[in-house]
This record gives sequence, C-alpha cells and structure tokens, in this order.
Amino acid sequence: MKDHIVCLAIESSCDETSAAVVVDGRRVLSNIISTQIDIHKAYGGVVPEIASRHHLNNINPVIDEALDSAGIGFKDLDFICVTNRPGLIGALLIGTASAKALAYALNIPLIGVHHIRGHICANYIAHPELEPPFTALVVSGGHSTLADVRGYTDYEIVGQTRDDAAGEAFDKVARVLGLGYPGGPLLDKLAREGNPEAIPFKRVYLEKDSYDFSFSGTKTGVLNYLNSKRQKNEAVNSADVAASFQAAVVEVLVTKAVRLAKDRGRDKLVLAGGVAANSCLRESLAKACEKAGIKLFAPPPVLCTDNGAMIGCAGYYEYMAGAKDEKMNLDAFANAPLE
Amino acid sequence: MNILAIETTGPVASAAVIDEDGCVCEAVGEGRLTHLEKLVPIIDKALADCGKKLSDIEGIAVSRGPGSFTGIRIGVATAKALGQALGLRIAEVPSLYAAALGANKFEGIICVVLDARRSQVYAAAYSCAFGELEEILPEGAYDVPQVTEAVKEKGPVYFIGDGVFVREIREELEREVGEQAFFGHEELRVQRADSVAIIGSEIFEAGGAVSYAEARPEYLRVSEAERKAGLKSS
Repeated sequence: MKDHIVCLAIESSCDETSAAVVVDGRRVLSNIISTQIDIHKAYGGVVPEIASRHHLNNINPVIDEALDSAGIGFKDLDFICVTNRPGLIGALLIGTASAKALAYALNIPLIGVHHIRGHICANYIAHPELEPPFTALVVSGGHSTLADVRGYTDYEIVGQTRDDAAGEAFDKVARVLGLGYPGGPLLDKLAREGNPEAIPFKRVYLEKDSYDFSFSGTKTGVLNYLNSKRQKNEAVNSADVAASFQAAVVEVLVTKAVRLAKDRGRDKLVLAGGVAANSCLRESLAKACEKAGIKLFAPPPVLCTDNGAMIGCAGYYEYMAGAKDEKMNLDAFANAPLE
Repeated sequence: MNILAIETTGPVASAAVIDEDGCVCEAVGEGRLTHLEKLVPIIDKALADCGKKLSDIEGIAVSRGPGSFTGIRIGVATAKALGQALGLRIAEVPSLYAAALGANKFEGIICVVLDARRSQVYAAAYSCAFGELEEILPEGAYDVPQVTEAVKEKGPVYFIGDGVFVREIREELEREVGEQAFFGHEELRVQRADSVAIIGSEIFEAGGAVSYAEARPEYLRVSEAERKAGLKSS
C-alpha cells in the first residue's frame, strides 16, 4: 500500500477551467484556475457556447501547469476525478471527455464528482481540523442549498431555492443598478457604503419549518422600488438599495442555516460556494453562529470560486469510500441531486 | 504506423485503427448522440477488434469539424487528452473530406452537405476519379445557391451528408442541379472514422500532424452570441 494517494482533479462546469493536484484529499500541491470572466463580461453573463470553446482551448495547458507546478508527472497519479454534474452541459463535457481520455490512457481510475460536494469540501482544505457531521450552506450563482452533512460522502439536502439562486438574484439586481459583470462582488462592494435598513425589502421565509429559499420576490421588490422611484422622478441611492437588498437575502440565509444546525444538533456550520466570499453574508453568519454557540467555517476566497482542488478533495473521499471507476462510461449531467 | 482515429462530429460516434499495412478496423457506436458516454468504450473496441493495445498506437487522428459543435468538442477533447497522456501527435482531419472519401467509388463530383441551420449548409465538393479526390469547393458555411453554383454543369454530382435529408435543402439541390444530381443513401448520411483513419495516416506521412496543445477544432462559424454582437471570433 502506498503512503499517499495523489489525484489530478479537473473542473470546467461554468466559466473557470481548473486543474489541481491533491494529495490525500487535503494537501493541495497545485490549483491552476483559468478564468473567462473578461471574455463573458462583454455579454453581461456566461455564454455557454463561448465558454465551451474556451474550455477546449484551455484545458490541456491548465493540466500541464497543474502537474508542472506540483512537480509531478502523469505516472505519479493514483486516480483522476472530474466535475461531471451539475453545470453547463457543454462546459462540463470538456472536462469530462478530457478526464476520461486521460484515465483511459494512463489506465487509472476515474471518479465523477458533484460540483456542490466540491464546494463544501473546499472547507476541508482550508480547515484541517474540520470533520463531519455539520450543517452546510452552499450559496452560488447557480445554487442555494442547505444540507446536513453526515459523513464525507453522506449528504442530505434539507432545503433548496424554489426559484432564483441567491447569487443569481445578486447578479440580476447588480445589472439593474448598472454595476456591470460579474455583479455579485460589485454589489457587495457598493453595499458597504449604503444603509442596510434604508429600504425594508421583503424577507421570504415560505412555510413555517421550511428550509427552502425563494429570492425572486425580493428581487422583484427591488425592481418595483426602482421603477416607482423612476416614475416619480426621485433620485435613487444605489448604495442603500444594494445594502438593503443584500441584507434581506442574507437575513433569510443566515436564519435558516442557524435554525437547521440547532434543529439537527450540529455544532459546526460550513459556508461554501461563490457567494461565500460575500462580506455581508460572512459577517452576519459569524455573528449569528457566535450567538448560537456554533463554530463557523468558510473557505478563503480562492477556494470559494470554482476550482480543481475542491473537486480533488471531494473525489478523494469518494475514492476512499470505494466509488467505482467510471472511465469507460462516465457521462455529464446539467442537473443532478447532491445526495 | 498505427493510428487511432476518432469521429464524433455527426450523430453516430465511431473509432478506427489503421495499422502499418493500411488495414483498417472500425467500431461504430450504437444509438445516437451518446458520444461522451460511449466514445471510450468504442475506442477500446476498435483496438480490441484489430488486436492492438493502446500502447501500440503511434498517432491520433481526429475529425476536427465542421459538424455538431458539441460533437466536435467531445472528439477533439478526447484526442488532445490522449495525445497529452501518451505523448502522441494529432492529425486534424477535415470531417467533410473524410465523408467524401467514404463515397469515393462514385465517378464525378462528390458534394458533402451538412445542415448548418439558419438556411445554410457546411459544404465542400471534390471531383472524384479512380478513388482520388480533388477539391473543387473548399469547406465552408454556404448558402445553398453558392454550393449549386460551384458544382452544376460539371457532370454528375453525388450529394451526401445529413443535409441531403433536409427537405428544403434537397429540393433546392434537385432544382438547381437537375438530372445530374444523385443522392447518397442512408448509410452515407454520417461521417465515419475509417475514412478519418486513412486521411489521418496521409497527414502523418506528409508531416502535417500537430502537438496536442496545437490541435484545434474547426467550427466554420463563430458562436451565435458573437455573431449577434458582431464581434470577431476568438
């Protein structure tokens, strides 16, 4: 038996092409991320066909760079893992086709990884002491999910968004405020200059006891507010709008996440996903967790964005749990449950 | 040399191996549009059928388009990663040329027509005599009249490719080329890896193969978003 398990992990589910070399699940030797943000900026959002074309051009050099900067070669790999679900299907299939061909050529196992599991696992890399069970709040441009994480490969989805993902609502509000792309971080920045209590946007909690989310009503509230101001020819304080909207979304996320942790008797809460970098969300969650006696974990910004290292970590635990080798038949899926 | 060829630009995926003697073994996928899931097993079967191992392969040939954008990418991504892991060079094979080669028993003009939607076709035409092809219309995204203009009044024209099965396209070809128009039957509707293997070995012999990093798809079109934005293809 070898002392260490070395994997190459590949991620191409949206607009980041990434490859990483990860040892024993948590030790990251390299994590190369090639982002297409500047390319998609011109279109105000990710264009799937363009993203797919760029992934194909970028993926092999990104893999080479990941191996080079880790100081290893293909022969040192024990297995390969790749994000094969969920995401933009055309984007996913570049990583998946490449990973299948590599695993086939090298005759080593291939593990398909769920993108959101990867985001949660980013916390294992950032926090060596972190172990399940815990409550996880995953917030990104495509997802708003509350999960009870019972083990490294044992997840239960307890709540999800019924309409817009939180990050999606952030991006849309940023667009109507004319903030540019990607909207989330720009909205966060502007919100810091505004008064979060200036405008009482609706907080949507849905049914009592529900852990699901709904952000489209809050988003529509912002649009209606801006329209009525425009009709009355009144000036809009964009910073106040950004701060108040963000406060409304964050309040619901934080309240439900902390309630779930208490409900399940978890003393740890893990934040993950692209929106985990949002400062308002981090601060509010930290305050609420402290008050409830829950320890909060969140990854550093580089591990919040889509990256190969988090996929390598998730893939490692799947591999150790005996996930079967899928190099012959792995497929990609635009939608897939976390469980 | 032993070359592994991949074709995924049409509705059916296939792989072929050509050996030192020019002997070709081909494996064709069952079912349509399951390329991502099925390509590696198809490659594995083509190798097994000709009694070769992956380590016997000395070069990769890939049908690099035009065709289905998604299909092109599955094939090219697979070819590039195989080249990267095995240290092999890649022959970028034009899919329309490969399709024409598959029909080279016909004497006259072979015109490959793929449905490109937006009332266009991806097309190329070759004059064919004794199995040898000579290009008379370079591959491109064309309006149908541009294609008929290039091939009519030059003797019999054999139209193949999925565009032949689109009613509007076929009617226009028939109307313009008249009695000289002949149409390929169902089995010539799709591109196949055996022709990709043969052309690939010619590219290798001519020293035209490229590294895995250089290998590129050929879509013959910018994306819809770029077209609408009037931006240049990147």
